[in-house]
Amino acid sequence: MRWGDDVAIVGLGHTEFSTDSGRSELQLAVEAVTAALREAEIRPADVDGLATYSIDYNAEVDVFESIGGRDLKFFSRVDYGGGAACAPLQQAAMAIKTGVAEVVVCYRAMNERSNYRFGAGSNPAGGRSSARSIGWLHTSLGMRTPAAGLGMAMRRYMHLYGATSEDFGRIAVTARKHAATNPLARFYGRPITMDDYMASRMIADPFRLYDCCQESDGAVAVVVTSAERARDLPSTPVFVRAAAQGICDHQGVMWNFYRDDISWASESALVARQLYEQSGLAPADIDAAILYDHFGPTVLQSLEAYGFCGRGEAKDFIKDGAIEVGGRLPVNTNGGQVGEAYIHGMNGVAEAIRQLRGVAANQVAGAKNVLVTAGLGVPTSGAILGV
Amino acid sequence: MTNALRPALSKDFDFFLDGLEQGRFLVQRCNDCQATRYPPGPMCPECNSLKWSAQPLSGAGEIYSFVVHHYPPIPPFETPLPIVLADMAEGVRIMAPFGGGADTLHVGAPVQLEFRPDGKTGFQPWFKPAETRS
Ligand SMILES: [Zn+2]
Repeated sequence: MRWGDDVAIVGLGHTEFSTDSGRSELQLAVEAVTAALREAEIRPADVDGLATYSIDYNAEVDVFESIGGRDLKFFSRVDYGGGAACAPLQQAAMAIKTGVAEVVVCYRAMNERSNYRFGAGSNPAGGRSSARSIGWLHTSLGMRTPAAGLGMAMRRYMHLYGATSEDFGRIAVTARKHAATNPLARFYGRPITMDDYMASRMIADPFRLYDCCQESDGAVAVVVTSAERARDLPSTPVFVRAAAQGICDHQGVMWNFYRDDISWASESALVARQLYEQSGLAPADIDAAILYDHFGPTVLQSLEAYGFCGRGEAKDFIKDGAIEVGGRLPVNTNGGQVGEAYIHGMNGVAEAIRQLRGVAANQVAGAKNVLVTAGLGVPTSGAILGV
Repeated sequence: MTNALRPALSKDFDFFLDGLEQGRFLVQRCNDCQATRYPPGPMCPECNSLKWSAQPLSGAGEIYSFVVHHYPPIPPFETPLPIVLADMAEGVRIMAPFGGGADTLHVGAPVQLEFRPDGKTGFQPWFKPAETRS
């Protein structure tokens, strides 16, 4: 079904991104939420929906209480962590399109660096759900980190398509180049060379240090409302042209080990099909893409799953600078999560909004449609935002 | 079976943990359509049957993919730790740490499961290089 431009993002707020925020996650959350509301010129009392995703520990009741909310009619918390980064946009759009809510704030706040680290090698994925049992089993077999899980998929990819460490390195060098000129980025002013990349230590071979996202403290919030209401608000509305979720064959949490072809992100391909159908757009219409890079090499999988090139062709697609600003498809113009910060994909949503408002640090001239995606190798989500 | 040392997993994993305690890697075979499945689950995805029997793997397989864990430390394992995903003779794919040399670690190489005492109540499955394909 075609969505049309009837839902819009009208406010964006965020904290700084750091290694130690020095304050509670709830404080980060409400700082970002109220910043987004101030920008939108919408009062907290008008918020009637909140949407976040799991591994955010800020309860809706606490966020709503802190900002001085009145009546909350819609609250949604989609599972699977970073795979759900774009799911709150879909939840907000559905709530607004059905009239369930009128102003939905999507938020994500975490002290993922200073309080706890996903890469620490101890936490099996799956939380308290039924997925915890297989998570425990993998842990007992030595599979302890997201890097190892996705490294397994990318090793298969290398075997099938002849991708090399140098191909992975191009993605890391590009991300750090973009981060180097983005004042918000953890690696602002700190580009790397291919030699730096090749010299960086192995984390989960084939993944090196510079392939890994930067676990960070920080928060991002966006305000979503109807296009009709957006007309009376100060900011340029950024329309939610499409938003979708996907779970596919033998889907796991940070792995798809039992899928026929673990190198292919079928969950992302499922999201892609929905996004292009909802928006009426094609890959050629996308001016920039924010492709979730928990690990940079998975950008190759995303480029293929979202239809920018054929299966196995991504390593050639990126060879001539295609994914740099000025290239055919600028990717992760903020530096991505390996260069800017890892706020579980919500900083990618923020970058898509900045690109469409024309205020990004590394602006893509005249960007009209931006694809933003959530983590793959987990139940995933994505969105196409546009002006 | 009740064992206080066992992790609090789903009941669906009981037979699997029983197998490890006996030094066997058990998978499920559907009593109705004969499809073999792994990881453990209550229902056959092929025919939705709830009836199944546990079947031990022969242990012969072929490397489908692998990763070598370097960082962070993951006790009780030593690092770097190679972890292998292998397609097994019975048609299921399983994962286990790899105890052989890095030179034998490549996609398509034959591997064999072995069981080492885990120092607690049972055995830890490991892959080792196999001389020949089964
Ligand atoms: Zn069956």
